Amino acid sequence: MANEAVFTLEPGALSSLAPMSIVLATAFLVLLWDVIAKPRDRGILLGFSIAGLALAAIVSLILWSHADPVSHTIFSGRLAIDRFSLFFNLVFSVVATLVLMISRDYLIREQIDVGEYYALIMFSVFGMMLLAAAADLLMLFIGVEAMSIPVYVLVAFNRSRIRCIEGALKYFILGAFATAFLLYGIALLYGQTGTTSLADIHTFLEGSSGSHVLVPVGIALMIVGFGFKIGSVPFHMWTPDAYEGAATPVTAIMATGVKAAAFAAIIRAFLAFSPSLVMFRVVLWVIVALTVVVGNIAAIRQLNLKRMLAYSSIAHSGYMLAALLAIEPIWGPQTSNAMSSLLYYLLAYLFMNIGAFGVIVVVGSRENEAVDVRDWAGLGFKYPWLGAAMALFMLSLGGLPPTAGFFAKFYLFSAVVHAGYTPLIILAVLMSAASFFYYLRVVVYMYMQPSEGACTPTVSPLAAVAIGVSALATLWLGIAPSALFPFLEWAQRSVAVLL
Amino acid sequence: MFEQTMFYLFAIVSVIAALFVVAGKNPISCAIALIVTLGALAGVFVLQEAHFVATIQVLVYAGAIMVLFVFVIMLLNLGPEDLEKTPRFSRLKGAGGIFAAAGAALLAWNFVSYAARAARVGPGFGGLAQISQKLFTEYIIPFEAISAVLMAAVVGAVVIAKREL
Repeated sequence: MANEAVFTLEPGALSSLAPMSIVLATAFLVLLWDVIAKPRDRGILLGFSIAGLALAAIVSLILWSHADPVSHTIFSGRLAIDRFSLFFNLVFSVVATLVLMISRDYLIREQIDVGEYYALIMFSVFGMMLLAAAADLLMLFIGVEAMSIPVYVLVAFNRSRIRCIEGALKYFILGAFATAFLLYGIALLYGQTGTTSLADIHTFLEGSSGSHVLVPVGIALMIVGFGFKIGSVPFHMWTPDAYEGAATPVTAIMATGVKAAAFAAIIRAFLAFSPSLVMFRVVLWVIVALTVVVGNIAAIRQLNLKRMLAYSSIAHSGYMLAALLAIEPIWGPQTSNAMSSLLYYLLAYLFMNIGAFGVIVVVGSRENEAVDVRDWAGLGFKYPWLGAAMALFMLSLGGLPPTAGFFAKFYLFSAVVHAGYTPLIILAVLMSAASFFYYLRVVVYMYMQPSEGACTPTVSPLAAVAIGVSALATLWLGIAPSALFPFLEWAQRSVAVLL
Repeated sequence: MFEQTMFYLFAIVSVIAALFVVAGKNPISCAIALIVTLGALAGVFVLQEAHFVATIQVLVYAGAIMVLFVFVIMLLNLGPEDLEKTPRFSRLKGAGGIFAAAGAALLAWNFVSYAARAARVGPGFGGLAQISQKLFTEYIIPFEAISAVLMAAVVGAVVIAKREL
């Protein structure tokens, strides 16, 4: 053809895809190897998956150290492999590795140890990485799907349990609705701005006088879609059932990896929408207040640990969403502080949650999943290490110093207070004080109730390492929080330059 | 001349088949008639030089979506006596017909009144060459990522549908 356009890849475009390509390749390798591996040798699939994730993490670190402080988009503006997305690549690799380490025993115990589990986890991680790197609404949508579809299947994985199917169906149907909302919002934004690129949308919104009706409608629909994905009130209804029904390691990845990836996308999208975000402050305020209150109050009633952690994760979403209120129309120190405290919160939240779910996995057995807190009576004395780890995770989730949870809350809340939302933060602090009621209940049962011997934990070395790493990270992030801040701010600044 | 003849041929076939879809008694023959309609429409698209749309029309609508339709009809498993009870025409169908006619009239009126100042598309617009060029340059990453999503979905579907893990 005569009008053939010359198309050239940006320098380094292909090599910067390395982390996600490695993860995807590992997924295929696991699928292929599963065909020839003997049923008893599934351990090697776990080995492949962890090796792939470790390689992806190392490559991300190398790319990080070579990355420009300025964010560039690659592939005609579809992806931004900057310090922000590389930071998240690292986080997802670590999260998935820890989850796989606590999965193994569970899968064998429930007799669902098949290769597809590992492959689906890897596919989901690929989606998360895509989502964190999406610089374009089209890629954002594909990333959400690439992350969610494997997780829908993973929730339904343990089909012999009826709860699993129920949770999966609810998650799938509501997730599909959420995707539809997200897509509709994207379509309206595209209709008004004529572009799907986040950077171009930002420029458009900066220059526009605000008379474009479709922009606020589009942003509102996208808030609904994101709200479902992170489980914020009033879009949280699926969370307790899906979290309870899913296999515990899958719940762990839903509560951590999926949520972190959704927040990564929200941060990018909201920074792009920042010139128009002022009119959404009230909406966000209400969502945050509702999420924090409903999450914490509902968790108080739960004696089922998985449901309790589900509501607690709703409450934590609320705290994290509050940071978005501090986004200014133009990037400034206030936004920068809020975003780096949000990243710090995510990091702290990931470790304490994976740790808590890991302890639940090892305490349970095939006959008794040990999700009822009453079964944990006296556990702290019989199994001092497990008890201590669980107590640490619970205190950290509640936000007691010197754990990661305390500093995460402290930085995040002070960033939002600086933005002028003191009443909201007072509410959040009151609610997080109330949250000690249900977090401490676990500790009370473990240490102050006579043992009934209902649980027989079996701790494999792999799970022990995963729980130990989570516990150490929870402590380290709490004791030396400032060590991470330059790192986080660097990640943040690379997004700011994108706009 | 040839094009016009072909256009009328495809158009008449698609309209007659569409009428049969609405008025037919047997759901399966209605579904088959719908395939004929969609196939004839694909022919109309080809005459408009929209080869890509024509292919997709056959692959997606006449192929995948029709399989779904037939599947649902078979799942419902209506016997001859159920079919006897349903009238050939109903108020609902009448209302649908009126809406469809109104929509068609609006569309026709739009075509007639805007035909003079309609924007002309370039040569080869919507053709396979242009679409593939876009797909493998600007949209290469979404294209590849979508294929990974489809792969994950296929694996997931197999996992869910397997009798035992």
